[in-house]
Amino acid sequence: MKLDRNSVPRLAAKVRLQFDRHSGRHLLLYPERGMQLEDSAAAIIKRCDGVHSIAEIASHLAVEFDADASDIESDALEFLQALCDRALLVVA
Amino acid sequence: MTAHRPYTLIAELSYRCPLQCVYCSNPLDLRRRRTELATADWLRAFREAEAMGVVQVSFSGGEPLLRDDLEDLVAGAHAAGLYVNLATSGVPLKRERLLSLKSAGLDNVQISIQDTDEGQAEKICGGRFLEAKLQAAAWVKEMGLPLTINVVLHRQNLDRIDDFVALAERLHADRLELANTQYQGWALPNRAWLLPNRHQLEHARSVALAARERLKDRMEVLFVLPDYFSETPKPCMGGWGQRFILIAPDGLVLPCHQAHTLPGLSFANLREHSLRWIWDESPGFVHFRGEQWMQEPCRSCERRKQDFGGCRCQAWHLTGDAAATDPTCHLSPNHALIVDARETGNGQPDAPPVYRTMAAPSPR
Ligand code: SF4
Ligand code: SF4
Repeated sequence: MKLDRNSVPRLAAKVRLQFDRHSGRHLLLYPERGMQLEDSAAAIIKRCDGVHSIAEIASHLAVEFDADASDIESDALEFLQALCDRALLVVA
Repeated sequence: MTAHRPYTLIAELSYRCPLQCVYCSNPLDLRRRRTELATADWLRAFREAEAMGVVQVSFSGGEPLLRDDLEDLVAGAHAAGLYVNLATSGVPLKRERLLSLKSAGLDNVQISIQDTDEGQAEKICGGRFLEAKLQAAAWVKEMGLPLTINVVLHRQNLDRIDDFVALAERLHADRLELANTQYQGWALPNRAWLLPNRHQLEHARSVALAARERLKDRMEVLFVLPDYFSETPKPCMGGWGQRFILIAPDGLVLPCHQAHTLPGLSFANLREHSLRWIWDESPGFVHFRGEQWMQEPCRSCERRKQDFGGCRCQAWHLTGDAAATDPTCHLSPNHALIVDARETGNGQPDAPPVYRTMAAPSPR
């Protein structure tokens, strides 16, 4: 599945986003595995709600972090594509 | 927080099981180990484990569904903030029960499939359970729970690898574990019956890799080679006392499934100590943690931080020295033991397999 800016992503059913109080980072938890996220990645994942598109997520983040929307969008697209290729993310 | 943070708790809730798999990783002698922990012990373990850094718990056994308090245990682990996986044969599962487990906070269900052929499966687990398992898997998906299908591979089923992939696809599994038998527990006395040959393995591996690529955005496909056929050993449990804690049904806290079979090591019971003390300080956990215990060739090998010298239990059961280099390593002075054993995968075993039982193990 190839994502584009209009894709509406959400985490796959087996994946849970969780704040890890031991490291102060967010984790993606899924069967037998865990992935520690950078804060910027966690900020993207939190908005993958199955309602908003990647373009919308990026523009929200651009406002929130006072950054360039197109930079955020291309970073988000790359990151979410990698998750999708590992069956951790699905599109609504 | 200690230097070593445990991430996963394996909660072996019960050794009881309706199946009798010939490769079961449970201890051979289960007679004296029937007294199971109370609900409150387990609930305490989940809270302590979370405080130590654990983020996942896997309920296994035996058959965890045989615990009447499984709903409470799932709820307790969920409340502690753990990702909760249930590893089951699927056989005793009822639809209503799965519903209550789901509302208690279950995150994932793993069902083992012995074979896609009922007669072949019966040869492995001693009964005809395939239909019950398929029904259980269908309920899991019907309820929107993620499904892992786990297949233990060996000489008797490796040639049906395509069928396993097809079955997992048909069931819409989210993860497919194709894990070759590790020769521990009941698999060791049954080794001559289970060891595959290289040709079978290579075929299976290529099928699994192709499936992984084709299904990558739908299903995670995992293929684990038997370490008898790799040049260097696996980092057993990610290193002794580094990432995993296993609690046996009777409360013994261990770094791996077989650790209590090692001579001269003492392991503590959850009933008598805090989990943190056991992890940080109990002699059994400290003994093989790190590199101090290593002998040559591991001691000066550059891979020692990656594979930790392999599996201590395999070293003990095959060489008689628990601190030896895992004989599956090509650098081990005992590697001939593995090379010779591999040859058995090319011939026909002369005896029928031994089935797992809670009674006295039958001598071979
Ligand atoms: S391997 Fe088989 S016998 Fe052992 S616990 Fe699992 S289902 Fe039961
Ligand atoms: S010698 Fe020891 S550390 Fe080196 S590869 Fe073999 S098992 Fe691993």
